[in-house]
Amino acid sequence: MIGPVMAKRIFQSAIVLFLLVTVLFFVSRMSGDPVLMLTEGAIEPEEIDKLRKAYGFDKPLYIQFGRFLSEIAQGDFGNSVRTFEPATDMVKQRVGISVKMVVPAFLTYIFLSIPIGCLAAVKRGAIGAFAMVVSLIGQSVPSFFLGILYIYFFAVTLRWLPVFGSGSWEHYILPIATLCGYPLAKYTRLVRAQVSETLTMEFVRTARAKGLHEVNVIRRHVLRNALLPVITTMGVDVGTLIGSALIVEAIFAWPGFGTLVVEAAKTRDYPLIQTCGLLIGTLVLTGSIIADFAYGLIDPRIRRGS
Amino acid sequence: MADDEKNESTGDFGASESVIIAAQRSTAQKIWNHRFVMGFVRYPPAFVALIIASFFLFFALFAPFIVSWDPNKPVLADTLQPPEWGIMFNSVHVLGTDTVGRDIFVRTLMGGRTSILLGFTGATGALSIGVVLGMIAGWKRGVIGATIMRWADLQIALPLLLMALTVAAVFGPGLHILLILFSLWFWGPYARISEGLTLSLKNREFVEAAHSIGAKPQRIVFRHVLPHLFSPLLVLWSFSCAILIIIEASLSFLGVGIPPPTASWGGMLAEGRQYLHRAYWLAMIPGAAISMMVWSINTLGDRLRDVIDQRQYL
Repeated sequence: MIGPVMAKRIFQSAIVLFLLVTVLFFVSRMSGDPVLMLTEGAIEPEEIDKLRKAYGFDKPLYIQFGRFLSEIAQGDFGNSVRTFEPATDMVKQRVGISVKMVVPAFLTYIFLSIPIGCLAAVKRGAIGAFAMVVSLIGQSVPSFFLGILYIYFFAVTLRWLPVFGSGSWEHYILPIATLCGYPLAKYTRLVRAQVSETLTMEFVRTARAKGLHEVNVIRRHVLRNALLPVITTMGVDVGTLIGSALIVEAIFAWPGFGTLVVEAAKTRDYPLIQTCGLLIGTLVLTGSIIADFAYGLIDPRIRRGS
Repeated sequence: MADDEKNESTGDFGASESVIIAAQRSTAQKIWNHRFVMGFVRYPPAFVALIIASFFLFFALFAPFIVSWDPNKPVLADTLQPPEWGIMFNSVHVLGTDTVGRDIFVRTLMGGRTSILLGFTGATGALSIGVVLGMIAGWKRGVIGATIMRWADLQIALPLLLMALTVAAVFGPGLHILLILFSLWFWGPYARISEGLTLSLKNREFVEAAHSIGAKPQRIVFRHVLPHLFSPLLVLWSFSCAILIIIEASLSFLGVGIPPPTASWGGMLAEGRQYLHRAYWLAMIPGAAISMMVWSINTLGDRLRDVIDQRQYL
């Protein structure tokens, strides 16, 4: 099942993850330790030194790094420097909250962009042109402005939907709509370009000549070929999605993983920064490996190595 | 001097190398001529985009010398004025004022200056680093090439926004830090393209020809291979500018970008967000500005790609 190519990819990804953790470790510590920030200068210098020792910040960097690596190998990602809870627990809890927003958004934009893109490609005309203009604008409006626009129109002016917090299902609409904006636009354009191109290929003419209904032509022949680059792009886009989720959570005060990352970064919470960074890196690399694997599954030519 | 002797004083290989270069030049010459420019002017969306982008670029470069209001000085008598359309441009706040009385129009132009300059310079820096590293990776395979490509992968694994969060929060927000970071953490795509193209061109005849008259690898790569990279890299560069402008605005929005009171589009949006019910213009104007600028760059980049693609098949 896992051929030599996939094994090589996994090995390369492991190297990248290792580099990632190393970079995060050294960058976080480059500007000094967080003890001063934690205590805000209200404690005697001797107490500060004691704190440093307790955390292990007094040892040279390479020793700290060695300790860090061995702890990670045992699954211990350390405790947050602020709240003293295990970093993994905090991350798990917040990820659960984020997932409630991100997964519906992901499903929405996938299951909307493919039909709309197809329609735009097949029916050249007002619908197609309109969809394209809207998507180009959608790709240019940054997510934080889109969120503000939605807030202004739906919450402030029309007062239909709430803005902050989480509770009823109404609280989910605006964040999900904001998170969808850019990817929906991007994938609609991509799907339309791909389907347009695929429709000119000869096997489509053959399928039509066989007497297949146009819908079936599209479903069985066109989509499979057209969507390949879309799938690979989706795999690579995981990182961008996480970044957008971060911003959307900041706008709507959604207490999820994104807000955790921002807080951790602002307070130099090293263990948390490292854990979050590692999680993000793992997600992105997994996404891209899955996308490549799916590509291999769908296109038999890749499988057979021709 | 014989055609295939190297002129030691100028480092030039003389007539034979010129022939090699001239043989490849025909494609480039077909693309880069006056009809290339016409490809933009005749296409309405690209034309509009050109106008908008030039407008913002012009002000990005020359705003400090033209504006009448100081973008950073509070004028507490005039706080939260709505936009007024007056005849006297200089004495009226055309797009309103913000919470401490600073003129929004001027602040938007100055904020654009920060965002645009950061975006363009960052993209150029990333291009420079990425192209060099990519060509090295494509030419010398093995450990060096693999290491460079793993660093490129790393930039995809931990995207710029998240890396910038860590760095800016650790080192403090600041223009210089962001500039360096954008150049150092965004070169991945450039390296990928350069590596791929260098690899594929490495076995072509002109490379062999250049090698046979004694050109060293550095010379071959920079003089013979690099010109083939211009077109795709230019398209990528244009899209990078747009992306970096958005990233800078996002960072300022989150509070880890350019610190106040310097005008920055993201920062203005963050401020304006709290006043949506009272003073919508605080957030809408900079937001519209970002959207217009990014749309212009994206449209121009799209059109650039189309024009180059069309003309490559001439």
